[in-house]
Formats: sequence, C-alpha cells, structure tokens
Amino acid sequence: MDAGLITTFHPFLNIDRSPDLERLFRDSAADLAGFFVRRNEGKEQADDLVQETFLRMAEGLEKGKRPDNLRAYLFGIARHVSQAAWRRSSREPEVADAVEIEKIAAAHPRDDWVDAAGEMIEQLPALQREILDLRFYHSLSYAEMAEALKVPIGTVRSRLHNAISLIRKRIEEEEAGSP
Amino acid sequence: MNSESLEALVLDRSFGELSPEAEELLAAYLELHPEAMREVEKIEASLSITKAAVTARSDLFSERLFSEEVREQEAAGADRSSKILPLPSFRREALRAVAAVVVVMGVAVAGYMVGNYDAERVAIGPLGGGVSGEGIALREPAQSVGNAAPMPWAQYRLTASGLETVIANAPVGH
Repeated sequence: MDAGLITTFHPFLNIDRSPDLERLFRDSAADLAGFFVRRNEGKEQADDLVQETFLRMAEGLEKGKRPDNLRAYLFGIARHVSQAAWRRSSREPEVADAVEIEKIAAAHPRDDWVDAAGEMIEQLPALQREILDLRFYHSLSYAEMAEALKVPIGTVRSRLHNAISLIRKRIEEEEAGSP
Repeated sequence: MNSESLEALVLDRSFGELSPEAEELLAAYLELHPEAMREVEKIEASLSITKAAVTARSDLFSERLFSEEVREQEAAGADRSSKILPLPSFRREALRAVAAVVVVMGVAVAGYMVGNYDAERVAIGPLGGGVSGEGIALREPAQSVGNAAPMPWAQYRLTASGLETVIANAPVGH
C-alpha cells in the first residue's frame, strides 16, 4: 500500500522533498485505517478512505495551506471524509447492523467496570465522545484535538476532564454497589 | 489542594500535557501529602478503564451517532467556557505583565521549594493588581489553535495550602 499511495501522491507532491509527509504517512496510515473502520462500522473500504484523506491533504498543501500540526490537520480531514463516506454508503438493514455491533462487542472482553464506563460514555454528547475517542484510541494531544475539531484547547481539556470525572463517578458507584 | 484540582493535574500529567516545572511541583506536593496518592491511584485506574471501554465499545463512536449530532453542535458553536476554576477577578492585562516576571521567579523559586518546602513561608507576593494572593504562578507553554494567536490554556499556582489550578480558557485579548 505504501508504494502505491506515494505514487498516487506524486503528481501533487515532490516526495523527495517531503520527508515529513512520507513520515506522516508511515506513522498515520494504520491509525487512520483504524479510525475509518470504527467510524464507518467497516462499511467503506478503510484503505480507500485513507487514500482519499491523504489526497485531500496533499491538495490542501498544494493550495498553500500550512497547518501548524500535520497530524491534527490530517485527522480534521479524516473526520470530514468519514462523514461523507457515511452519507454515501448504502444502509444495511437494522437487523444486520445489530448483529455486526454484537460481533464487535463480543470480540472484546469486558468486566463490570468497563461496562459501567461504557454506559456512561453512551450518555455523553457526541463532542465529548469524539474527544474520548481521539484521546484514548488515537492518542491525539490537546492541541491536535483542538485543531482537528476546530474548538479551543480549553474546550477540549474541560470536556475531556469532565467526561473522565463522570466516568470515574460511575465506576465508583459500580464499585460501591458490588458485594 | 481540592480534589478537583488534583484530578485536573493528574489527568494533564497522564496525557503528557504538564510542563516539567508543574510536574515537579505536583511531585513535591504528593511527597508532602502521601494521603493524596490513594486518590491519584483511583484517577489513574479510571483512565485505564476508560481506555478499555473506548477500545471495546467501537459502537459508541460510529459515524451513525456522530454525523447529525456533531453537525448540529458545530453549527450551534462549541461551548467556549471553561468548567474548571475561573481566573480571579483581576485585569488580564495586569496578569500578562506580571506573568512574564513571575515565570522567571517561579522557576527559580520552584527549585528552592522542592528542596525546602515550608507551607508557612510560601509568600512570593501578589500576582496582580487587586489580588491578595501568595505563591508561585507557573504558566503552561502557550498553545495555539489553528491560525489563532498563541494562548495559555492553563497555569498553576503553589500556595500555602497546595498546588492549585487556575485556568485561562478563553484566548487573552481575543
């Protein structure tokens, strides 16, 4: 995939003079693929979406965009690509969706505390959940999340802290209720 | 230090978002208050559980759930207010002028404090016009969002009662 993708980018970039981009691709491609698999429930080909994301990034750079943080810029583009892919993908029947979700859930072992945390996350608004995902699954920094989500760093920090505080209280309730 | 401040600092440290100076101050505080370590362990345990839940429950992060809700939220505008401790009520201009001096003083005094901490003698002076505070204020490295001017997002103050978090969330002067 690496060689093919870099060849695809070549019309837009001089790869020889873009070691940062090449390194970014090597570092981020797998992470982005995981992002798309999670966001689109495996419906769209993750590889295609990763390629689309890097292409859009390359086009942006060609047009003169100079982001402070390439990784954050990439994830910001990935969010839009993911939303567009979801809108154009054909919907599976609800029953099949439920089965797929159960398969994903069954693949990961759980315990009561993780279940309690999951229940709390389920109640959080979308922005807070997205921040949790970007922090805990994709390891983005506060600044990277702020850039990708186009919100102030303080908002990212306060929403993240608030979410963890709520999850922690829920876990403590679960712990207190256990025999 | 109250539990809210401690939690905020421990979370920042866990995410690698604390400056070395603030980390030192937190370590010094915990050394002097070993009873706080139990709280720290609980916070760190909750982080592990949260990570496990985020990993296990990919169904909670599907575009199905994000697309419409996120678009509505983004259209309405993200909340720009901080939910953590507000700045004291003094002029931001005075704070900026003082902060530059205090950072230099703070780094020097922090070294002294780590080696010779005495709660009764922490008295560096007022932080700004109208504030009867005492202690060291350490400003986090400036952060920027997109093309916005750099803005501090957090600063910490060491007072007689411990390390406190004083948050500047909104960009100063924006």
